[in-house]
Amino acid sequence: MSTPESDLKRGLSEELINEFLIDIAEAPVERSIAAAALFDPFVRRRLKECSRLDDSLISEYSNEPGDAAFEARALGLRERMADAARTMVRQNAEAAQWERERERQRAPSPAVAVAGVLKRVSDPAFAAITGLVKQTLVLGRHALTLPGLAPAAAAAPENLDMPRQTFTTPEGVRIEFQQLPGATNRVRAVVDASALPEREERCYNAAFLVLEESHPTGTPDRHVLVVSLNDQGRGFTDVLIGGEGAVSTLPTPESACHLVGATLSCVTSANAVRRGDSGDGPKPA
Amino acid sequence: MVARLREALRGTDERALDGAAGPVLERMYRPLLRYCEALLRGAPAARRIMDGEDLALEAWHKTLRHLRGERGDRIADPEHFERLIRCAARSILLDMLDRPSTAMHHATVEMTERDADETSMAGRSRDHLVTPEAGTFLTDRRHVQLVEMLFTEETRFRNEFRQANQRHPRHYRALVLYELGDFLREEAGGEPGPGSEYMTRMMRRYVRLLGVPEDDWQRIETAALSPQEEEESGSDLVPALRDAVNEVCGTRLTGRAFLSVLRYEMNRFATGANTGASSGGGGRKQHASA
Repeated sequence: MSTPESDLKRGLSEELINEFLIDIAEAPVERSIAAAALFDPFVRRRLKECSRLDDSLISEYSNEPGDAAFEARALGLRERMADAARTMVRQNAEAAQWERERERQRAPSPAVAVAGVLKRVSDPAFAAITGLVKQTLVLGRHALTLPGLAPAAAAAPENLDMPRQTFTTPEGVRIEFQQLPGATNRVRAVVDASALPEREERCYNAAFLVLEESHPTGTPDRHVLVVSLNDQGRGFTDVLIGGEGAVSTLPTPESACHLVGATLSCVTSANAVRRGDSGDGPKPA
Repeated sequence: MVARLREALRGTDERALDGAAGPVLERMYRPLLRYCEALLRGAPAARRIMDGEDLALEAWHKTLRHLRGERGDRIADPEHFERLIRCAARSILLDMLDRPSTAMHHATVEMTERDADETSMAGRSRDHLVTPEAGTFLTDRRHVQLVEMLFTEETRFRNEFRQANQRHPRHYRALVLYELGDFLREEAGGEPGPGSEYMTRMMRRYVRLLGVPEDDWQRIETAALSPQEEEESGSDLVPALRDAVNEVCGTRLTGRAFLSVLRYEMNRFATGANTGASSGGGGRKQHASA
């Protein structure tokens, strides 16, 4: 049988009533409860009883040791109280874990990764890209000598049969640049991260290959090739050498071009690489 | 000590918690058990359901939840914490006694007092339909808020309830104080006892929170609790109380008819009614920006 809650009691939780009883309630709460304590039968009886019981039993609240039977009960209680407190902390940990899991599920799913070339990437834009990085691969610095990327240094095209340059990082990621047949100005960048441990858990869907082109002024031009990876961690991007405006084009290198960095990332719809920061940005693959 | 426990309870480190809870537990496990066993000694029906350790553990748990929660920051020192845990133990016991399955076996003074209180208030409610009294005037949250504004924010009260031929707020204050005094007289007058002491103490606390000066209330309380004199002809108010209120508020309350007019106007303020005013169109002023 439930009793309809009185108008005055509505909104007065037990916590508030207890705060009133121990004189720590804020003034508005105290006023509301004092009014209820006078005019609301339930609150009035509750507070009256609480006061009466405390007045009559406060002398019992004593820390004097008792007889053996009491001490045994008290020690048992002490253990149970400690356990109860620990359980609350464990619940906090579980709640935090649950919250993290919920956040993870709520987070935007990995977007279809972009692919293309970010040309002449400025320092701020490069920093933004670096912010997306989940794993930097150990790579070193490698000169790229494919005809498309280094016309001056490359061997004569007629001697080439689908030339390629392959680099494998210690993590097991294979990076390959292929000169596509039929035209010297088309290059394919291939990334195979399928052998990488924990790739699936980390949801990698993009690889950033950082190219540096030496420049007579001393400050190299930096370009980033974005390679979209499939569920197996493999992907490629075709690059047209000698273009400026279109995506997936790279200005004709004027001097030696080097592969200086490779990173893997999980690009989501929330943090996809934006156009603008870097001049010409890539479009979704 | 309490702050450390609070922080540990909000975290996830069990070792930190053990370090923080140790001193608190050491200080209170014996007194709490003794207190809970004493509580249950006076409530045989509850004792059939739980023992002192169960009650203590439940009170501890409830208090820790309070401490860990967002209102836990108000609990500043071990004394607060100990008072709170005793409160929790009493609340748990009283909740248990309120449950019909427990209460039906229970025949102690708590039930008797509860019945008396509720019967008293129920009777008061019925009377109110005919003759409004403080008890019911102040059981409506809107009235309580209005009274608080009247006493603590007079300027706002005057602005919000501006009327033609505006009556000075002291008249409404006189109404409230008279009714509070009358309520106190009915509830705590006569033979002194724990119930009347509680009412007197609680009423003092309430009027203090309203900002009524202690001396003023003392005068009204004394008049309210003094044995009733013979009624004066021509006045249906309690003479001593009426005089004390008039003296404190600087008003000239004479009879119940005037109180009824004031109460009618206060009702209109509280409910926001703004038509058919007997004294020049009352009701909460509508602000353009509202």
